[in-house]
Amino acid sequence: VIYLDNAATTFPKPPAVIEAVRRTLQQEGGNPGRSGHRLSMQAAERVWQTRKKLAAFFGCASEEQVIFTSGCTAALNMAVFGLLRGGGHCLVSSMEHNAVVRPLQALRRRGVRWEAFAVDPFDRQKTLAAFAARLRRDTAAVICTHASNVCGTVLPVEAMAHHCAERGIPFVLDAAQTAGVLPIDMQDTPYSCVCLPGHKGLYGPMGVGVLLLGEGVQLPPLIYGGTGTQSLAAEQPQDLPEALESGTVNLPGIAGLEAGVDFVRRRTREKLCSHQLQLAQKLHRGLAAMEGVSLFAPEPMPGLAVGTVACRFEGVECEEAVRQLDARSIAVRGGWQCAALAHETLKTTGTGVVRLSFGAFNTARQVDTVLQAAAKIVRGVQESAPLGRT
Amino acid sequence: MHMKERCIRIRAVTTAQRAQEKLRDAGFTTRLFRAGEIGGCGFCIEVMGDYEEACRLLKKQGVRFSVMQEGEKR
Repeated sequence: VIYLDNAATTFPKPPAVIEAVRRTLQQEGGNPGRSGHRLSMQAAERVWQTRKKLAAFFGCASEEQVIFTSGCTAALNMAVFGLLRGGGHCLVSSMEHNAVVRPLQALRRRGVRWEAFAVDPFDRQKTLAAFAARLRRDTAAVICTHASNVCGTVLPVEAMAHHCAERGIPFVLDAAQTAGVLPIDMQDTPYSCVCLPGHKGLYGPMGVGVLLLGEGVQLPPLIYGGTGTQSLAAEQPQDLPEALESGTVNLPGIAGLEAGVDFVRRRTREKLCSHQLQLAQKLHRGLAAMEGVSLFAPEPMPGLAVGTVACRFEGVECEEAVRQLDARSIAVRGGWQCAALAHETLKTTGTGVVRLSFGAFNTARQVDTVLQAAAKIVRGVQESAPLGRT
Repeated sequence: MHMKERCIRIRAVTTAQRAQEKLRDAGFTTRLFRAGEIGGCGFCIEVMGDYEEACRLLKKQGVRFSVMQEGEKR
């Protein structure tokens, strides 16, 4: 299979990630920090080492501000519900995922008013101007995706975060598409919260995500319960990160994530990013040269896009295109990618798009195969599903 | 000469891990273990060497801890 759905989850995972998960399930599977026995303390050490690596990788001031969650969505929910617990105005980009939009919509009942500034995938200055124009004196938080999960456009989040910091407005970065791909340094850029998945650009397993807190940022828990500390107290302990990590953390996921971070560091984030971008450029150029293919963002360029291409084949419904590509053993994602707001921005609400997204293990030869398949789809050449497939 | 071991109590495991690392980096020999009686559950770092210096170092690092008195039950 040519797997081009890396924006949903990177696949396959590096062998070291698989080995790390196996090791915790077979050999090091104690409940981290919950007991004094060797397996529990060993598991706690594994969790600590992962926190350390994540803090160093993202420039987080302290390991205690590295909070493990079940995924990026959970991290975003913690940030949204925590920062907006008092109500107020919230500004987001018009490229946001439902992981941001839906919590905000739910908070409308609690007095939160949110609006979106328009992102122009072809003009960053326009995007910045739209952001600044919508920022208000009573804005309680700005939440912004680093890169669109639909078309890969990178937003000028560093400039926005500095702008917010000067005004004392918390800035939340949704790094779902960029953690492990683009530079994110909390020492250089004053992010209040960085929310990220473990299973995408960091090559960990599904079921683990991270919330990184900026200095002095305090959030209440969304989930209360056992922390392995102060067990006789009915009140939730205040110590970070445990205060925000009630219940048993996902040790196999965290161990796998540690191995994933090691993989990215070894390969280097820069090289991984450049590899994916080059493949996306090749694909974009090939598709742009084809009659009957629409593209929704400029050719991916360094710093302006990640390795994701959104397209549509004239006269072919997206899910039909996905089916036809799957019949040729090419895995992509069609439809609306859980991002209604982004599709409004790209004017694709009525149709959706076909999204092709690259990872570390894709090759230029695969792009050639995909382009040949795309040409056949445009020409209406059908391919039946391989035997044994439904 | 026998070096006396004394313990520092810390409520949460991650803070205790950070504290242990700071002490190790400063050349202390330490052991982290789980201990009861800090509101139910908590952690202790056993420190070999200059205990007062270890406490000063942790205070400087902003680590919240309490000292375990000599002879106190672990």
